[in-house]
Amino acid sequence: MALRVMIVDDALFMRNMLKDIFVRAGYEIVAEADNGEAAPQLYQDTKPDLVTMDIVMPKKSGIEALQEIIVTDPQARVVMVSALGQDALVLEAVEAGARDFIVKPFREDKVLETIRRIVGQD
Amino acid sequence: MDMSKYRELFLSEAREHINSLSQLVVTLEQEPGNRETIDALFREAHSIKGMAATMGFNNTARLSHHLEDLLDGFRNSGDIPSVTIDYLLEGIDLLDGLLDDLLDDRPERNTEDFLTKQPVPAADREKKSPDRSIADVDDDESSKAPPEEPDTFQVLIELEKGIPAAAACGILILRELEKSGKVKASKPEMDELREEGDCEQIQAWLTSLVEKEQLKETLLNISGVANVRFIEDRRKNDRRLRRAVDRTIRVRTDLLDQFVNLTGELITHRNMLNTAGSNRNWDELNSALERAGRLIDDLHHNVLQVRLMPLQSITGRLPRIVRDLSRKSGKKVNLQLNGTDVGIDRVILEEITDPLVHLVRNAVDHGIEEEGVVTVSAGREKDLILIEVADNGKGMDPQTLRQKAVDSGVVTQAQAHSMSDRDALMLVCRPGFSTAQEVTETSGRGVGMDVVRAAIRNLGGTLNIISEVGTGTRFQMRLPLSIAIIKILLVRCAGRVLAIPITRVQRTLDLPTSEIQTSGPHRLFRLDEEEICLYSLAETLNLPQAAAGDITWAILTEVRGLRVGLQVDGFLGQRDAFIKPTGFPLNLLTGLSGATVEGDGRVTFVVDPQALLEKHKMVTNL
Amino acid sequence: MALILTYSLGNDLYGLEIDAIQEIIENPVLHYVPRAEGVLTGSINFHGQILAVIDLPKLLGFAGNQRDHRHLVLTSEYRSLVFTTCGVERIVNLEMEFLQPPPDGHDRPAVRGIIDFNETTINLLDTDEVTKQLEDIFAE
Repeated sequence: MALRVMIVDDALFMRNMLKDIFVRAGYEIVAEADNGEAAPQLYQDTKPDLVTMDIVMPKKSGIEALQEIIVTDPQARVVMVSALGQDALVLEAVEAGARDFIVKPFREDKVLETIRRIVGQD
Repeated sequence: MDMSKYRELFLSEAREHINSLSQLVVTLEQEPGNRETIDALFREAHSIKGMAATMGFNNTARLSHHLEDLLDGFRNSGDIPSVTIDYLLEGIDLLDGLLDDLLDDRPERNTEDFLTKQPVPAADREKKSPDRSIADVDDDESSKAPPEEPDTFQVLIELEKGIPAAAACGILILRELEKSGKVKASKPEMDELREEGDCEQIQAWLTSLVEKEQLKETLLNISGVANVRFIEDRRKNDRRLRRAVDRTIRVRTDLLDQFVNLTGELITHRNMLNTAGSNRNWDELNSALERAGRLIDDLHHNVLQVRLMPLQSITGRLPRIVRDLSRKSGKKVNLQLNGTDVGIDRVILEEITDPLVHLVRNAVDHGIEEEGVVTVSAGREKDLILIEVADNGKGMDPQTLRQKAVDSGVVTQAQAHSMSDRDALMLVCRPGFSTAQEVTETSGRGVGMDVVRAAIRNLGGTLNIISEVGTGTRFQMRLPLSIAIIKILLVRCAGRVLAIPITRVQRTLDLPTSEIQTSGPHRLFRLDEEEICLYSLAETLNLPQAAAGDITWAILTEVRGLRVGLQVDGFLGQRDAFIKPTGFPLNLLTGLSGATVEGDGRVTFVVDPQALLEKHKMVTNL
Repeated sequence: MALILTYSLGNDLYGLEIDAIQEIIENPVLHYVPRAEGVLTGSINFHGQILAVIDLPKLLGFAGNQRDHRHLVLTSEYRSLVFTTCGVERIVNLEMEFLQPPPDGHDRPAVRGIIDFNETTINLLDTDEVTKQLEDIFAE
């Protein structure tokens, strides 16, 4: 069965870029959110295998959304997406339970490598 | 009393004493019965004993006391039998191991076996271990390492240089380790990482049933992990050498006095500047500024001085390495050190440790045939340091090297033919080229000459080889006195590659092009509820700015307290770079802070975005 | 006696003392220098030093002419400048006692003195003048 992925990012461009990468890899995009507020409920509804989560977003940050998701599902596999120079935020997210992180600008193979490792771990 | 603050100092000083101990023993072996050498040995052991006892490092103190007693017994007779020389060297190795334990915060290893055993006659020893090599010494030690935890092993995980959020990577790695076993200790610890300490590598003591190979594979899969090593490798001596360059540095008091004086003068000048400023006296202001500039130059010079360490701090162990190598190979090699008190920037010192050891090993292995002298000499040459490793062995024949390079496919026949002798000698630095007929254990593996040359190049230095058949070979390293290594972000700009110091980059941006607004001559974008101006790096360099695609790449930087975006055509990653000053008149160009040379010889210039923006008067009406 | 390297600038023959030249390199790889324009044609990696390449004819106002593939790297006393110039000819051996100051009305730029050689005049380059001109151009 194809891996079911949810993408959270406020920039349509980034969502599309990630979507293309995942579709090419044969994954299924089950949900998309453009802010942190919608993400936890969407997670509950769709129960994806994996979430990519932008850190800086309007309304609610990716870290807050991550914390809420982890509370409801400690096994949630959330990968943070950050820009260069956000080390402190990345650290906070990893502490909060993010499984890994990818840094923009990213390369397709690196993204897939990270995701395969996380999915392979469990 | 809290002794922990003296720990670093103890470690560095004790290591120096151990280095001299081992040097002195090698000297003693060459001139047995030299009373002065025995006295010096006694004093060294005595110093270590005193320091270790004060610090409460009992095993170290007992062992050095034992060696001191042993040496005291020979002070009158002045004659140390060769079995005792071997026994002393074994004791020094053990001391070195104890220091490793203390450095790594492990309990001190067991010394009982050594203390209770009598010097074994050399003949018996040779039977047990026919060639007492470095590798054998290490085996002895690793079996002696923390005895109470036989299943614990040490793993060293090196991270890629300059990766973002290294501390977060570190946490992910430690979590992975915890999954596969029990982490007894780690460096840095989880808590240190949480405080976002800098993280270049993770050292961990792990009790685990997972196969090492399997664990290595898992760890290598984590993004950002460059290398995984289990510590028991044969190059232990080299690592110790590297450790010899400790984190603490001792500063001459006269230099400290100069710092105090300079600071005092600067304070006086600040007052003058204040007065001139409030009086709006421009002449006074200018002259005070000029003098302040000179004072800062002096201060800079003195700061660089502090970073200098004598070459001795890494050559101290060479006599022992050469002794062990000559024993192993059955060659008779005499090592001479000249001018090793020359001061070198400690970063350079760290980086040339491996290359230097490699060159010395090469000289013993490949240069000297049966008997000869290897000379390591150092000295200043204008604003460079020249370090030379010379042997009086068989030398290298350019013609043989040409042929060998053709045979091994490194160059074509035609290339080899047109090559000067000087270039032919440099062939030994090509990857995949080895002059030794067979790979020897010591220098044929591990770092090759290509790595040596790359290390020297990275420091902004050069390697030169002079060789004459039948006379010997000289490897000359020319290195800068001081060094500037900074992290840079490589960017694409109008078809060119430029570097920006990472300290100038608050963060990288990927802006959806559609969201960039135009307001009069300005382009604006929103970030954290703030309107920020976007400029073009290409335009500051009088180059055409190519149209961006769906996404506009930019860096966020700051000019006169304002956040601004600077558009580039793409990012090529970040790395550490050695920044070279540029020659006249390049040094006069505003916005160029230097250049760095890539591995393939290409030159990439480092630009200062602030200076460029200010120069271009782009940020005028903000 | 002094060894002088001769090269042509416009229709004139110029000379530079061999002692001022560290090395003559053929077709070096030129690297882009940000904000370089005019007489600064790029930079070279000369044994690890990053040096500026100066178009000497252009600096001294001589038009046209193909540049020689040989570049002259000056010694550090002359700030390790690298000159690209025209028609690098040959090395001649001259009696420096015969060096004369440029006569009145001599309108060639950056000439330290002139000396006759086989019925032609060699203008000896004034490197100090060249450095000074560069300082004026690049000081910002």
